[in-house]
Amino acid sequence: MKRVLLTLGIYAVFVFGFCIGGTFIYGNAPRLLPGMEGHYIFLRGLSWFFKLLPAITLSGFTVGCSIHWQKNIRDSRKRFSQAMLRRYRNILFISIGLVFILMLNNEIFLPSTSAKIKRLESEPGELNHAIDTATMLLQQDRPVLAWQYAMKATSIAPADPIAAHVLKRSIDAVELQRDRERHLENASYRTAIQAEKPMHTLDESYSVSELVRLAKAEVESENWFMAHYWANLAVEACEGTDTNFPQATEIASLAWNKLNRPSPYKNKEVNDYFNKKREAYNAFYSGDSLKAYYIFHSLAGEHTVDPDVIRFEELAREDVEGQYFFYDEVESIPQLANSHDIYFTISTPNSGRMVFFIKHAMSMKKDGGLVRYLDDVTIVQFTRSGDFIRSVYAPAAKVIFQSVSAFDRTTRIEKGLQDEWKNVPLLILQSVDRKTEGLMSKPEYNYEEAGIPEEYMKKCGMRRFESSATTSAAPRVAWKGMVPEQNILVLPMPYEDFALITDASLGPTSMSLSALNDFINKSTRYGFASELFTENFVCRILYPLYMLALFIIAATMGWNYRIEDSKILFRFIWLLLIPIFSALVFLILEFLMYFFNIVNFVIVSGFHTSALMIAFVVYLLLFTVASIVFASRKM
Amino acid sequence: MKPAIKHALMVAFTFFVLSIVATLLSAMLFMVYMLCTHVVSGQSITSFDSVLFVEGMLSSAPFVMLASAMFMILYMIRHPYTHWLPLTVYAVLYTVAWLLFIPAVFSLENHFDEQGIVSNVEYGHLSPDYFRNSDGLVFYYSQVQKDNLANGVCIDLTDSYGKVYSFSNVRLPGSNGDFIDSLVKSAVGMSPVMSAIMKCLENLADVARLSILGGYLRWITFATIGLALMSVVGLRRVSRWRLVNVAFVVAFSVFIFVFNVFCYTSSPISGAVSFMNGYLSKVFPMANPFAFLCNIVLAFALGLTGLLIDIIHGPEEDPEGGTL
Repeated sequence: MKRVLLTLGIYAVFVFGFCIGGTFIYGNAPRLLPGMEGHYIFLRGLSWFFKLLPAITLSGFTVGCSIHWQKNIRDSRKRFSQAMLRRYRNILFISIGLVFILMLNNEIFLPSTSAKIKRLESEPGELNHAIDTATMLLQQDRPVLAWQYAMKATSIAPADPIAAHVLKRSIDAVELQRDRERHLENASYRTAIQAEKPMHTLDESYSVSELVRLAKAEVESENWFMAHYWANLAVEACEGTDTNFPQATEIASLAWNKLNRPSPYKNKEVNDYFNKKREAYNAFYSGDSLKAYYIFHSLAGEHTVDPDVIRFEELAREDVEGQYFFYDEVESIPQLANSHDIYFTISTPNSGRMVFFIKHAMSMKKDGGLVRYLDDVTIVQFTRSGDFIRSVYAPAAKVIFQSVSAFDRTTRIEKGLQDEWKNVPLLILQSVDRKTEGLMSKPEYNYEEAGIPEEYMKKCGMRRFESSATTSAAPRVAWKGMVPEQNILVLPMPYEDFALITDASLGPTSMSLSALNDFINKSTRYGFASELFTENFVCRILYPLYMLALFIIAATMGWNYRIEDSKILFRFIWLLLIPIFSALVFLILEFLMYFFNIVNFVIVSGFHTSALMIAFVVYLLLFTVASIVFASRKM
Repeated sequence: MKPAIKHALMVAFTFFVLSIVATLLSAMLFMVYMLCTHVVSGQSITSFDSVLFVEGMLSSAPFVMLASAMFMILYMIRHPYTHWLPLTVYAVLYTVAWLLFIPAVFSLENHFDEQGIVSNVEYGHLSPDYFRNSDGLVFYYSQVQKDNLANGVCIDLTDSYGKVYSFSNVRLPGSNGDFIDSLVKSAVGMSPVMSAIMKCLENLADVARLSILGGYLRWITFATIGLALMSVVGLRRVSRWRLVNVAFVVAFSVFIFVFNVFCYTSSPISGAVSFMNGYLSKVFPMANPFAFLCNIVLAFALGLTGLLIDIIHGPEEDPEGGTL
């Protein structure tokens, strides 16, 4: 069988040389970064070679077998002879090796080459875009962002003088800004935070003595929660040596001790309520405002008469809503946006469906997990029956993970959070710029539909509905004011799915097999067609088996059409045959692959979850029949 | 049984069995493809549709029979046996296919068309809750009503702004024979190479039907394609290495087919063809004298080649005795 491999090897090298030579002769590279032409042309030739590889291997293999079996075939006069079985074993080994190479070609070589080519093609445009944006941002006096775009530009083209110049300008501007900030820091910081928390602001505006008085009053009525709250505020407001300081601390610790008594009430229900309230207050006090808010919220739902709970719920809500992230948190990341154009939908048990679109996303390891920064986030909300509610737009957002255990039972059910999810994404739509006063970006809520632009409607053949006397569109519901506008969204999905969805938005072909496998069962939940992903998965997994069967059939052909007369010398002119043969095989393979595709689609469409098993059986059958036919060859 | 008779029977067997199997397979493929154009994401492909299946059979039968010459020749290469009987059987069967079977299929097709038999597979409405990407515009329908009115969202990926357009009460385009669901199309749609090939086949079939309508004489001039394809048998012994012969036979068959398609339909060489036709129609009063002449010349050349090879190399014996 060495001759088969030799034939194949020489032929492959020959075609490779032909592809590389051909691509250089063809030239014609598109606009690229300077110095990249040679690289691009070579990659293009390489991608041609990879695309032709299946046809090359199949045809080369057939020809090789045909040549090899010119001699030494006297031992196969009967069907299913030992010699034939030996030959079968040999070609099976070789075929497995070749199929393995083809699988690598399909999964790794071809996609990575195509991706590199695409990247080279898009680099000039991206470079210009980065430089233009950086320049524009510098003019708008936003040096940190400008710096990031300048870094991106220089990473695309390190040698480009314009990019280097813009980078230097950005770095200088950032330095200047930091200098300025150092002087102004405290003032603007406080202004930014206090802008939107009315209740907090009110409470904190009391003087220390007023706070102590309030605390004392609560101590007398044995309202330990409120007593601790006022006392704590007093302690915080004290600056160093205030005469009220010791009293405030004393009340605070007294109240704290009273609060932390185990089971102070005899009635179990009252005790449970107290424990819950204490848990919520602890969370509030230690800054876990989200947990505090949701527990107070559920308490308020059950017992509306408790003024403490109402008050703390509002305070906690302010804390939660006032959460923001700093727009320049991403300062330390030199590279921008590692995924783009992500879309998915989530359905919530009570609020219909939400469609998410994220233009750019960047993930970063922080706080023991993955944190994502998003650019240009749009969320459109629909009722369960599909009517438009509103759309939300945030120019920047941050996604952190929140453990599900932070929410209590009722909240979990209300929000549609499953217990088996460990972490859920928390979407923060509000961001603050450290230096400017007030908030930088808040989500914009829009209760009117944007409507598709006319040119797109024409392009897709859609028409606006003209209501007539007999038919009319459903009456529009005015949603404004009926659904709360939030800056923080808890998404009812496991946090890990975010990564899967990012991949899926690009399409099943670019996903890895393991990611595809994970995603298939969840795809419909997020608005992706499971047939598409399953079909892609089945095709890629069973491609080796299918190709193996084809190789056996090719070997059969090689035997059937071998050189009859063992005395004839090999003529090299025969080798001209191979390219013609390969061209034919290439065309035939197109049909065979299409056949493979559509058969898999039908199986997936008909059998859903057991599709892989059924398809495996089908192709195993094909392989078995092909093997039997081969083994039955005789001289 | 005498080997000559055995070979002749096997040639006939190849013709019938291969034609029937190929027609059935093609019909199956056609039916499945048409069903896929109707199906939407989330919906299973419905079971067997007999009307589409029969339609598939009638569409593919002419092409299968056109290709049957090539397959019979491939059999004869595999089992070389130079004798007039198998060759005659081959020629007779193929001629009958062209002069009888193919016109019969076309008239049967006509008959069905006149009856107005249509398959009862309906075009459904697009299913909501799926993202569909077409040319950089991603559509998501939150609701699709019976009269094809939809609410939803359109995400614009064509530029760097990432605009999202929400809409309601937009009438979606009706089906135009193409795939109703772009998601299914992306899974099952044909590659550009394949669609081009299919288009060629369709065009040729149209020309063939026109030729039949034009009368028997006109059909015979069109059927010279068959004559040229039949004469490819002359190449079956071009080399001692049978794989070379296979390559030659297949390549020439494909070439003749493609050449005729180019002559009869609009193609890169249409200009030259119509020029030649204008020139030749003075002598030959027919639709496409150029194609007619080329086929005749090819048939003659290939036939002569085959004859010469047979005379020079002498008769062949089949060591395997004629079985598949």
